[in-house]
Order: sequence, then structure tokens, then C-alpha cells
Amino acid sequence: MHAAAEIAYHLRIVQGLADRVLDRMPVWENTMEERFTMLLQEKKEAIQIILNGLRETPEMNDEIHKNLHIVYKGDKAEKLIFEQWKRVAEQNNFVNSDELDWLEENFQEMKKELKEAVPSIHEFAGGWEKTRFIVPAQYRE
Amino acid sequence: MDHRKVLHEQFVADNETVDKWIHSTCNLCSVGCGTDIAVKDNKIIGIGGIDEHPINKGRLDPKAKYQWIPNNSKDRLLTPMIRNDQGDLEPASWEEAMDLIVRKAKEVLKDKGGDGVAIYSTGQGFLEDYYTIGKIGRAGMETHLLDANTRLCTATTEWCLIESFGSDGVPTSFDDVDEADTIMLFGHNMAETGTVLWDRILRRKKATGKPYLIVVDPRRTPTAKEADLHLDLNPGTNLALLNAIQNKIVNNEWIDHDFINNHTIQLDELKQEINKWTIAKASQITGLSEEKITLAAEKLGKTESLVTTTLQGVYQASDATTTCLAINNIHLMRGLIGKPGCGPLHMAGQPSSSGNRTVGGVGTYPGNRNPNNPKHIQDIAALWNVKEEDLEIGPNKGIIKQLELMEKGQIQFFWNIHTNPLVSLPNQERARKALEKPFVVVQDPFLTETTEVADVVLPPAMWGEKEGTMENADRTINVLRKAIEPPNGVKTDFEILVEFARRMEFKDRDGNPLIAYSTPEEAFEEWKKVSAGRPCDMTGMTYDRLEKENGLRWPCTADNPEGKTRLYENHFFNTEVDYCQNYGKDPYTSRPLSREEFEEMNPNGRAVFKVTRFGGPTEQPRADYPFWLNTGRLIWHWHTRTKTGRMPEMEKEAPEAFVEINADDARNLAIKDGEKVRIVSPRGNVEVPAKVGNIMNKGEVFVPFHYGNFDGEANANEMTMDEVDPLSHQPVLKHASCRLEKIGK
Ligand code: SF4
Repeated sequence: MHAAAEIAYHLRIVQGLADRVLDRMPVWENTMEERFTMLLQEKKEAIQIILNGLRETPEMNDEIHKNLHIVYKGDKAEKLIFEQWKRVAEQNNFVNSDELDWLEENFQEMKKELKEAVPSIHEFAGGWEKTRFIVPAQYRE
Repeated sequence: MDHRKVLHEQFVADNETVDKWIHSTCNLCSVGCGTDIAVKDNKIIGIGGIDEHPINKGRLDPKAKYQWIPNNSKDRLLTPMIRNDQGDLEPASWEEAMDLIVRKAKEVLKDKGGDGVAIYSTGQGFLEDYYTIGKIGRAGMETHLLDANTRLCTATTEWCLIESFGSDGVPTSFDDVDEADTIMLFGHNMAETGTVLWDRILRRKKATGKPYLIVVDPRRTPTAKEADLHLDLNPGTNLALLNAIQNKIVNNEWIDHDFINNHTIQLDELKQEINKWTIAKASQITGLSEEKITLAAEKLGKTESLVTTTLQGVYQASDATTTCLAINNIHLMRGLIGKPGCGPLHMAGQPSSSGNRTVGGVGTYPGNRNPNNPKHIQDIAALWNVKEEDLEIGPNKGIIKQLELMEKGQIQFFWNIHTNPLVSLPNQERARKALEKPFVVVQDPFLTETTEVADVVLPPAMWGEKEGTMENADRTINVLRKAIEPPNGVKTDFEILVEFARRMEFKDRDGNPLIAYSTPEEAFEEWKKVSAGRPCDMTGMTYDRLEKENGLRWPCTADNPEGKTRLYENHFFNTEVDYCQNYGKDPYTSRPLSREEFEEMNPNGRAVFKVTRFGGPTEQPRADYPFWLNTGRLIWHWHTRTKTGRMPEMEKEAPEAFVEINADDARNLAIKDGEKVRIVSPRGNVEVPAKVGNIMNKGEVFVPFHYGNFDGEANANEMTMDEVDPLSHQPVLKHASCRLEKIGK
């Protein structure tokens, strides 16, 4: 598959997963949940901009670069916040474990898709030196 | 080197005569008081405050006077230890210990790459050690997993300074507390945690009536008792208070329009957020009267000069970084920065945690460099003569995230230097289980709770037995000379790190050793080159000058050899896109901003008003856990008592943990002073005696965090939350929910 198409493929899956999680909100309304919900929403919107961009000009430009940054850095920030929201929810028995497991699976699935898109992003951007400032270390291995 | 005759305060062992006094610095808190070490027959026998030292002028606080005692402790480790097949630690040679560490590090690096190895260091080491950790970690092991207990101490300081002003470095200095008309101590119990600086403020106040003191703290601490205005707000509501104050200052036009127009950006964005914050709304959330909040706003809005200090009451509470940003905003809207008696003075806890941030042993790249700026990575690659692509850029992971990576089996090699996480980290049960997973190296002069999970223990030299520099909380670099040789069998941290690099065969691009220096002074000279042209430029310093001048503040260059008392005197901030230390984060969601987003903001030398949206605590009291749990320090102890626990005078003052309870709550629960109480949080419980009184407000309790061991000593962190501030990743240790159960005598 062409690199742009491969990126679009993974990002569409991430967008769908983000939608699924957002549809379930609110689960336990508090400041952490509000934060990761905002990040999911922002990530979804950034993906849409990338998808539109890839359709119009299938090559790296400032707009795609900026929004890939939002997607990857947002995903990382969102995981940190979600994981601690989950811990506090578990410690307090505020949310049942099935619900927490389901959310965890979806968040991990998003990360997995984003990791799988990385080789295509490298190819699309023309090398690691352009993308390592977008893609956090733990999405690159 | 016996160059001083008169010492203001001397504490020397009974019946001893001093052979010589050696120049040093107190190794306990971030104030950085100048001390001389008393030596006789290669033994430390006492300490004295340096009269000419501008920070303490000879004064020392109670625990500092005895800090030499642990050096002579009988239970010091004098040989490395390795865990045997039966699970016990047994003595080993340095050769065996280093060989095992190196073998394990190589194995993990081969298997997992840089993502598998982590160094968790300290805020009590030397700049030269931190610089070496940063270099070995980034260019040798190619890891981004460098963190330190500074995460519990000062990470928020770094982030709030980067966000508002473009780079780390407190804009003000301790000299400014001598000139300020008003000082606000926000979440900062200076009387117990920075005693000598507090003494300096009180002496002036007693002599002149100045400064007007505002203290923000839920507890009636010794600091609060001296306040002109004490704001004993509800836990977790710091930012609600400050949002209302910011709004009041703006609405009343107590703002410096010229300064704002010429030197700042984004006030309009901030206004949209703080507009919602009426005094009445803040009163409802904080529990403070409207009159008190209004008075605070008036004082802050009208004072001619203002220093605001912050510490763990802010950093370890919810909305930590945004609270500090709100404080920076107040200084910016009033134009009270970069001039005498003015500026935020975000403190640090430990004696050299600021130095660890500066040289990149933790946090961003060395010399306030931006890991997201390819040019800065190129700079470092050239300075270290390594390949750019070998420098991992991260982002760094804080210790709470690192625990997650241990749980998942990702981190398999964990090197713990001069810190005791199995007392100091929140949610101890989880921390303990996580730390049982990787190969753990602990570098500590004593067996601690953390050595219980160590595979190898390395015994390092202590204060007075090694040479190096430390950076205090106001950018002062002090040199600490070696007073005595370390005991046989012990090596300095610096020697251990250099030896590790040699055995790992870390090389630069030309095949030469990556660590080419062999003494701390040589390391400092190399570091100076790395600092050149950056905000923390130290090219004008030498060890000899640091001793002669009793410390110098950075930046200190050939053009400015005396160093700078305060930053931003020309009101030009470090926010140019290719100079700044980071492009910042969204202050609410914490998502890092891209270069493009930073360029769109176009600060270009102007400070940034960051939007301070209130979040509040995640976990709050409720029917089954009706109390707020607060944790913190006592004047008598330092951290987990590895040192102060070995000072009989300090142990006598505060031998065990306790819980402070409000008298009304105690009456309602039929708890009498001294009776044993079980405190239960959603994570764990401890049993401690009650101290009944009026220090706490109703519904709140306080437990000091210094205590805890595997023999059942009560550890407050069994109960605290492993939740972090989204921006600085500093754990929220200042509030959680709990209940009290009376046990009785
Ligand atoms: S204030 Fe801090 S640096 Fe000064 S003597 Fe006390 S503990 Fe040491």
C-alpha cells in the first residue's frame, strides 16, 4: 500500500476508536475524565484534517506535520491521564472493572494503530529526522 | 584552606579541637547555606555557618547542625552488596558489583534498547554527577528514561517557568526578599522547610515592619502564625483562589498596561477564563470569606513590590503547574518582575534539585535546551561529538509513568541513586510491587527500605567526602570541597558513574571515551562549554571563584562575572522560537505544543499569560472517607530520615509519625490526644498517635511523610494517591480522602 494510504488506514481506525470511547462518556465525571475527553476530541479533529490533507496533496506539508504532532503527542498525554483516572477509579470502586477493561482495550488499540502507522510516516516524511520530533520514543520501536 | 577565623555558629563534637575548616555548603535544603566542615584526623567532627556567605550569614538550622553525624554512623555500608540465590544481600567486591551491573545493563540494552533502562537520581547530589548521568543516559545508553526524586520536589517549578518565560531559572533571588514590600508564601511552610531564609525575612520584619506577609496554607503552620493575612483555604483549591484574584486585579485596572503591551502576550485569552471567577464563587470553593479574598487581591493588586514563593503546597496539589502559572500571571499583569524586590520565587525542596534540571540529568536537555528543537539536538551532538540520531529525545517519563513501564516489563534495569522511593513514592503497595520486577541497583550509604528490593547495592561517599558543586533555589552555584577521604571501600557517585561509562565502553564518534574527564572539576569545565550562550551560562565561574565569592548566580559570564541577581531586567524573555527551552503544553490537557503552534503564538521575547483553567482534585472526601489527608515535612527531619534518623537530637524531637487532628473532629470521634488512630484511605492504612489541636481545619488531617519501614513503621505514603499533575508529572501528595478509626491507647 502507498504510504499515504497506509497512514490514512490506521488513522481512520483510531478515529473510530476515539468515537467509540467518546460515545461512552461521561463515565465518572471529574477533572481527569474531562481532560482525556478533550484530548480524544482534539485527536479526532486533527485526524480529520490529516485525512483531508492526504486526499488533496499526498505529501508532507506543514498542516499535516502539525496535526500528526497533535495526534501523537495528544495520544501520549491522554494515556497518562487515562491510566491515572483508571487507577483512582479502581481504588475507589467508582467504575466497574468491565467498563475499565473495555476503555483500556480501546486506548491500547489506538496506541497500537498509531505505532503501526509509524513506518509509513517515516516513508511519507522522508526519514526519521523529520518524524522523531513528532512521534514519541515509545511509539517508534 | 583554614582561611576563616570567626564562625558565627559552630557545632563541634564535645572535647574536640578542630585541625582545619573546609569550605562547603549545607546538603539538606534548597536554601544553600554556606558551611565550613570541621575536621580532625581525617574525621568530620563538626560544622559551622560561614559568616560572609550572603545567603545565611553564618546561620544554620537545627538539622543542619548535626548533618555530619551520619557520616560517622556505625551502620554505614563499606562494601557493595549483591543479592544471592537465597535472596539475601551479601558483601561483594567493587569488581563483582560493577561487572554484574554492566553485564545486566548491556543485556537489557541489547534486548530492549534505551526504552528498557532507567536512571532515577536525586536532588542531593552534585552538578557534575547529574551532568554525567545526563551524558551517559542520553548519549551512552540512548535512553529517555532519566528521572529523579526531583519529580516529587521541583518538577513543577521547571514547567511553570518554561511555560511563562520560555526557560527554567527563577527570575528573582533571595536578595529580593530583603526588598519586597509584600511577600506571599503560597503553599510554602518556610519556617520548617527553609528555616534560615525564614529567619532572614522575620528579622527584617521585626526591625522594619516589612514585608506584609500573606501565607496561603490550609494548616496553621509556624509560618502562617507570623502572617499578616493567612488564607487557610480548602485543600485542592489553590487555583480557584488565584483565578478570582487575577480577575479582581484586572477588573480594577491594577495592571501595568505598558508592561503588558510591550512585554507579554495572550492577556485577552486569560481574561476570557478568569472572567468567570467572582470573589463569591472563589469563596464558595475555597471556604475563605469574601473579605479575606478581597483583601488579598487588594494587597497583591496595589503593592509596589512583590515576591511570591511557592513550594510543595502548590507543587504536590491538584492544578500544580497552573497554580504557579497564575502566580506568574499576577507578576506579569502588575509588571512586578525583573526589578528589585519583585518576581516569582518558585522554590525547590532539595539542596541541588535545581542543578539536576539545569544540566539535564532530569527534565529537558542540558543547558535549558529544547528536545523538540532539532537545532538544539545538533548543538549537543556537536558538543559531545556524538551522532545526532543516537541522542534519544524522549519525551522523558516521570517516575509514576516509569512504575507503569516496570509493571508492563518494559523497564528492566532501574538504577536508583541517593533516594528512597520505597518510603517517598505515593501508593507504596503499588510502588513496591513495581520495583520488585526490574533489576534494581541502589546507590546509598545505608541500607534503606529501597535496598530491600535491590539486586546490587553500591555504597557512595557522603557530604564532606567528595568535591563538586550544587545549585540552590535562587540559581546560586556553591562549591563543596572535599574535607576528608571517604572511608575505605566507598567510592564517590562521580567515580562510580565514570567507571560505569568506561566499562560500558561508551565512545564518541571518533572512538574516544564518551566521558573523557576524570575529576569533578574537569567535568565542571566541560559543562561550562555546554552552558555557553544558554540562559544558565556558567562560563564565568571556576571552583576557586565559587569558593572565594561564596557562590555565584547564573548566568555568570566574562561580560557579567558577578552573576545575575535577577533575570529579565530588560523585560526580554527567553521565548524566541530557537532559544526557548520548550514549546510548552496546553495548560489544561497537557498536550505538548508543536513548533508551528508556538510560532503562531509568536511570543518572540515576550512573556506568555497562560490560561489557568481550574480542575480541582479527582478524589474528594465522601461518606466512607470523610476527611482530607494532607502530608508534609517537619523541621526536625529531612525526607525519609536516611540521614536525620541517624541524628539522635532529631530523632528525640520527632521519633515517630503522628496525625494532627482538629479538636472538634477529635471530640466527635472520641479521640484523645496521644491515642492511637487508624487512618484509612482507598489505598492503604496506618496506625499512629493523634495530636489534637487547632493546626488543622475541621475535616482535614495531616501526617508527616518522613517515616516508614518494612517493620511496620507508619508510612503516610501507604495512603497517598499515584496521580500526577498533567503538566509537570509531579504526584499529588497533598490531598486524598481518608477516614479515622479510633484504636485507643
Ligand atoms: S535552611 Fe536549608 S540549607 Fe540552610 S541550614 Fe537549614 S537545611 Fe541547611
